[in-house]
Amino acid sequence: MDNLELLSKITGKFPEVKEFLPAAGVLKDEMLAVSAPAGVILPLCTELKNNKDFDFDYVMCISGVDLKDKLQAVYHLYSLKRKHKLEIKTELDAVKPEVDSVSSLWQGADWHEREAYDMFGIVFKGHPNLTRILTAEDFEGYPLRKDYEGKPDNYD
Amino acid sequence: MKENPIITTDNCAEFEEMTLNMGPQHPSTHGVFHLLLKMNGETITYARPDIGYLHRGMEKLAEKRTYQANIAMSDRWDYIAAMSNNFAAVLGPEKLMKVQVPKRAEYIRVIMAELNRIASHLIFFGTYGIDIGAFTPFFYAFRDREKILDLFESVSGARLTFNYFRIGGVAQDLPADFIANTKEFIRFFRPKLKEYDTLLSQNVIFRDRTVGVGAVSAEEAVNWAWSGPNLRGSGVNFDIRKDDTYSVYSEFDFAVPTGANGDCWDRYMVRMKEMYESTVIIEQALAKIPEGEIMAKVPRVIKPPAGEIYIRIEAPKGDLGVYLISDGSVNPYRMKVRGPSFVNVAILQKILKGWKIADVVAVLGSLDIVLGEVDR
Amino acid sequence: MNAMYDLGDLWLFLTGKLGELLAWLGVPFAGVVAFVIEKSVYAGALLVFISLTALWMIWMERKVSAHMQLRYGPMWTGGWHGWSQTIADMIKLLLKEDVIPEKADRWVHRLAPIVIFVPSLIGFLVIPFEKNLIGADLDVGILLIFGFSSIAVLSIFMGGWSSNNKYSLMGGLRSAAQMVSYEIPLVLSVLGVIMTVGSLKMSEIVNAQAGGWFLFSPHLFGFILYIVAGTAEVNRTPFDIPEAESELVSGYNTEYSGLKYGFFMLSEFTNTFIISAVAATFFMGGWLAPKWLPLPGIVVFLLKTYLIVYLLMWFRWTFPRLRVDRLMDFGWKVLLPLSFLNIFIAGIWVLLKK
Repeated sequence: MDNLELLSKITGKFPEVKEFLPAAGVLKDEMLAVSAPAGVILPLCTELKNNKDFDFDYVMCISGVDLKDKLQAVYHLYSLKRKHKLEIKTELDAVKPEVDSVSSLWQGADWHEREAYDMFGIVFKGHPNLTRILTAEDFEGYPLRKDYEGKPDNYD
Repeated sequence: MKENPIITTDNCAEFEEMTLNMGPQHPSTHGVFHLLLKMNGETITYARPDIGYLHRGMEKLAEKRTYQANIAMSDRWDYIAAMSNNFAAVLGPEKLMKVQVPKRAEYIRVIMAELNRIASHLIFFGTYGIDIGAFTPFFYAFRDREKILDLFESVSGARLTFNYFRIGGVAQDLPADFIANTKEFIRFFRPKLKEYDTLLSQNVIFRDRTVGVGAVSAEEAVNWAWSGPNLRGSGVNFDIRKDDTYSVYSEFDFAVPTGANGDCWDRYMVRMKEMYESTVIIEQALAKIPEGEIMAKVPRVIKPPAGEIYIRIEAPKGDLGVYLISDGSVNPYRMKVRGPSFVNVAILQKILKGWKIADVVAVLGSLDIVLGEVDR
Repeated sequence: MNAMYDLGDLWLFLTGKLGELLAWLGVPFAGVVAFVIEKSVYAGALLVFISLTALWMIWMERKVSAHMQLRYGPMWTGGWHGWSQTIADMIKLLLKEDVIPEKADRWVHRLAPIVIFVPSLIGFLVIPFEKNLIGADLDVGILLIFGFSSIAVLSIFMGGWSSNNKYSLMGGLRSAAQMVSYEIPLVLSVLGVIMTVGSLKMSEIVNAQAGGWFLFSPHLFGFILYIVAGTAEVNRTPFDIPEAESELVSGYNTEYSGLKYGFFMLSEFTNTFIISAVAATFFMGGWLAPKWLPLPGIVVFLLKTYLIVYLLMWFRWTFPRLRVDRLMDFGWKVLLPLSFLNIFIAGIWVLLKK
């Protein structure tokens, strides 16, 4: 299935999902990218996984991105059976970033979501164990945010 | 006076439960990896992997460094397969800048990546032997890995963190005797694979310890986003070199070994067979390597145009992905590294239940994790 | 065999002369005094021998393992091939701080290394180095060795329990399970020989092999069983699950340091020596050597013993470790029935020979 067909099938089912088109002069990956509002992520992903037309059975990556005025969660999905890729971008509020967890669909998303929570403070609702993963439990702040300022510790 | 609680068969389980913190300092957690285990006798009832002891903030550091400096940083992700990390670190900027890498440089990259795959799998072979209780394979593996490191030293000057790849090519051309030496190594190494088989793979006790232990079905493996030899051990024929090809891998003819049951034995055997396939690729590459440039024409200051890219390669541990966002400056805006070990190890919280503590070591070893990549 | 070379005959000659000397000097109770002096000297010599054996075996283990692993092993200490490395290590262990964990059961913790070392010393008492070089040629001979070697499990369990460390505790529990279950096949595997000879006395067992080693008879089966069970009894790979570095860090001796750790290590080697010496006595003819080999009996005996020791070392550096439940399965479901079969075979052999 090529990108256009994939896009039309997705937008046919979810009209609020739009193809992600970057600003003028900004390069885009070859893979299809769509932007979806945070509320539609879980139904969209459920459909993408369970519908035999899409068959997205593999989570390549889930990343948080800090766009300064807002946060973004980026999902890279892959289908081992059909060999197509999809990128889903969802923009989140910088103050209260919340999105539904997809770890119930793909267990592989579990630690990616925890990492995004740890590094950006993105709350994945419905995640079974959303705790800090790489930093210590009592760590303050979200280190990968652009406005993060590290406090000097004993070793600085 | 306090009365002793009466232990009966109904409540004895709760009395016997023991919490064991395996790691972060433990001989067979392959680094600073912490497993919280709850056990009933020797049987695991609950397991929780705990990572982050080696977290160096690589992704944050990447945002403050130039693209060239990030190649040097990438050596430290999976520090026993630094060439593969270099590969992933240069592919992103190259694609954004639309650099056409010279054919010779591509071949050199493939040779290096495959040699590094053998080196990484040799470390797996040796340490897995130790995990199971056989010490001797470790030294055999290191004897052979040393020869690969000598080859790496001859091209890059380093033995662990090579920093050999460049955006647009590689740092230096091959030395005059490299091709002869590599051919000599392959001639030396292939019989050694048989030696490993007799030494460890076909050992009755070794098979007893690994066959059927920690089995993961194909569906489970895909759902947990496993990759690399672990995924193939579960019987899923997926190799990024074949299915989502990059560089010049499409020009080589090699097999993708897969397992059947997804147990420790299958994961182990996939790696042993992969070493052979890597020698096949290297042999073809050495035969076909063209003359010519080793660097494309790239500007001295690397400033990829604004944009984003997700690339992935088949590292020795699995699917090494890099999500790169450029804002047009000399530093990446965001660089997320999807380390295969990070994803592969997450499944431990599920599959360890019901196995013995000796199997914990066997399963953990068979996943072949490197903590530098898990924590980054 | 040339009597001139025999250390045992020399010993007999000297002790005889000692008795005569004492009698000539008119010492009261000359016989008793001679006996006491004789046995004290023997015991002292034995202690020196045990220490040297342990030192030698540790060095040998290092060299054997190193050469199997493409290494040299210790090469520097003391000059020739690092011969004094073990001595240097012992000095180091003596100088080390003796750490007792704060919450440990202090007395049991202190007692465990002694409890493991003393029985392994007693075992040497009945080992027949040569015809006349036996500390005490007791009627119960072999039973004494097995009886005292069973005490080792108590010590390992004491060490594991008192350390107040979960790895130690599990090591202790494992070894309790393992050594108790492997003791039975161990004793049963030599029962065939005992049935053939009709005695538990070590010297008689050796003398019974004057016509040929029991190794080259149906007792070969018993020998194999004995080696397997014996490896498990001294906790060496592939049965080293009480220690199991990769799982339990160091098992029961995790919390031990300094000299106390040294005792555990020494007793591991002395126990290995005893197990090998018993194998040499029961299946390989002890001090007996072919007529064309003019070697003193003790040298022949030690050669045979170290052949078995080398075999055990070879096992250790080749095999992986069994899992604890598979180990118990193997012990109870495979080794035990086979050792009964061994007794059956030996019984038929005894009947046929009559």
